[in-house]
Amino acid sequence: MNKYRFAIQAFVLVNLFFVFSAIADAQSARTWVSGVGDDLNPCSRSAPCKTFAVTITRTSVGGEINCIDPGGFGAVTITKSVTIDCEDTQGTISATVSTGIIVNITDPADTAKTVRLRGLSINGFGTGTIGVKVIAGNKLVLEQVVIDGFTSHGVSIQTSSGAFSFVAKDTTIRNNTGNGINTFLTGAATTTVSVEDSLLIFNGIGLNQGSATTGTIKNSGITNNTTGIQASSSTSILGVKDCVIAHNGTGILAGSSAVIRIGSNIITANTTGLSGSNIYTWDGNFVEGNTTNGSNNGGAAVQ
Amino acid sequence: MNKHRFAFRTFVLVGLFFAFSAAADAQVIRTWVASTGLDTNSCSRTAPCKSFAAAIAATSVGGEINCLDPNSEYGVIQIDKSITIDCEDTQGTTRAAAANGININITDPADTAKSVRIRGFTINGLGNGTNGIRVQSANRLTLEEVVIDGFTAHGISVETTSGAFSLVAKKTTVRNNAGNGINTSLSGAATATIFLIDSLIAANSVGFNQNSATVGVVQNSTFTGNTTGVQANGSTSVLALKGCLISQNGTGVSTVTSATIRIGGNIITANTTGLTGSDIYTWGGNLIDGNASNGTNSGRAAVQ
Repeated sequence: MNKYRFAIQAFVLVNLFFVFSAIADAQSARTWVSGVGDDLNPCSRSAPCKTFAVTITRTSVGGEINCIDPGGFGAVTITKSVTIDCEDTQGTISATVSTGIIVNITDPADTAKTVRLRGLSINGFGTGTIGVKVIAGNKLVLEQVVIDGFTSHGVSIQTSSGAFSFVAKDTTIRNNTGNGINTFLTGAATTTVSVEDSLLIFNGIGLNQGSATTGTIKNSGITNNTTGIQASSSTSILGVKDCVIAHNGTGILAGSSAVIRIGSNIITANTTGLSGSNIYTWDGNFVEGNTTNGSNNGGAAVQ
Repeated sequence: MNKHRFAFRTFVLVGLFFAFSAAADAQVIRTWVASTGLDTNSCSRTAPCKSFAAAIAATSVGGEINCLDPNSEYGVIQIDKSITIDCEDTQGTTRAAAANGININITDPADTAKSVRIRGFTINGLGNGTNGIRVQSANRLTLEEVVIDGFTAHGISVETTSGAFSLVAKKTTVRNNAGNGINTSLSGAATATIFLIDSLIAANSVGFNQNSATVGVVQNSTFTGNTTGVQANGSTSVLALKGCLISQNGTGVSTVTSATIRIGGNIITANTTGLTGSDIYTWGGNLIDGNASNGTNSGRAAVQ
């Protein structure tokens, strides 16, 4: 009996040694999660992990995490350049009391500071705080991402230094009590925001640009928000083209000397269509059928 | 040996106790269905259910159901609480012979959101289902990448009787329904807003039939092969169409009974009648030619 017990103990110890060796040594350029994975695995294709939080620790800087199959892979804090691509296998994150994804990359050796998220659904279930929060980084790209049900913002860009760039395509941000996309920068930070082919629906403000933000939004639906699009600072500049801005309390609002340029949008079925003193038109905006249509403040150049 | 057997039995019994407690008590925020699932399971990722009925019962208010794999036997769906059904990339389907595919009737006052989100889903009436999606009571419905086909009544039927309801549909196909593709028929003090984008409404009776107390906006969508493409009916029915393709219908765009339709940047061609009705206003840029009878608009709408 004692002999067996010793053999088992030795076997367990050897196994533990290999597991921890694997964890300590190997960061791979490509790692994998699965709904039936195990975080004691090395996160390889044939031995996938269970959560993004563990998988990212075994992914090298600039590496990529893929999903083998559908699953809930948990909230994650990202502190290095990484890609999470679950396109066609649909990764999900449940974030009931917290933030779904935090981007906070400060390592000077990681010069890219770039995060790419694709084919992900992030659900706050009406109690999570923020879908994606950016504290520090250079670039964030979202493609085919769904963010739903947060008490604060869907995407919150709150960098405090450097130049940040945010790009979203084919992305849906809905049912957030705060704003769909919100920029609130401090210090000398600046950011650009580019949104295309996306939906910003059922939020407080669909897209709310604070100071030091230059944004462009094209071919997107911004509907059923308290306010559709708002820019509110003299250093907040926004271009809006080919969008549907409808069923909002206010469609487009330029506050505090912010500049919004609009062209070829349909702005209808809002309580107020256009509001503010610095909305300039490239022309071709269909502004009718709002309780109050509002008016633009002059032309913008078309060449 | 007997001692071991007893210990093992106790372990199994305790395990079963916890398993059944979990199934009976705990509603969770995320549940799963799979073609190989069992409705006696807890609907977890590793023990998925078979039917949406079981998964909805196991899901808390505001929770989400995902599909592990494609399956045509998930069953008709009764939704009585806020929920997300997201089968994107795994393609959930429901077949609804002689029934409504999805019936939404959320009346619980404690469920303040009354919000339903459906994504990556096919609803097939097989030619004898009643409605694809029937909304009796809810605040919000979002459809993304949903296909609704083959119902004897409507593809989507909005029939609320109180409150303000909003429908948003993107990349959604509604086709081959003997009734209308999308139909609003509200009663009491109910109101509705509709927003369609990047969608296909084909081979229905009326593609989009918007009755009273409904304000609709449609962009970049196709209405083709319907008896009538788009129709608004009633003085409180207001509809805007931008960048749409409206062709091969009997009538393209129709207003009835003082409804208002505004159109801009659409192509309206190859219909028997292009425009009909007295309150169709244009933002300009509509390509209207090649219909047996093109029809005319009734005046301008403001462009800024």
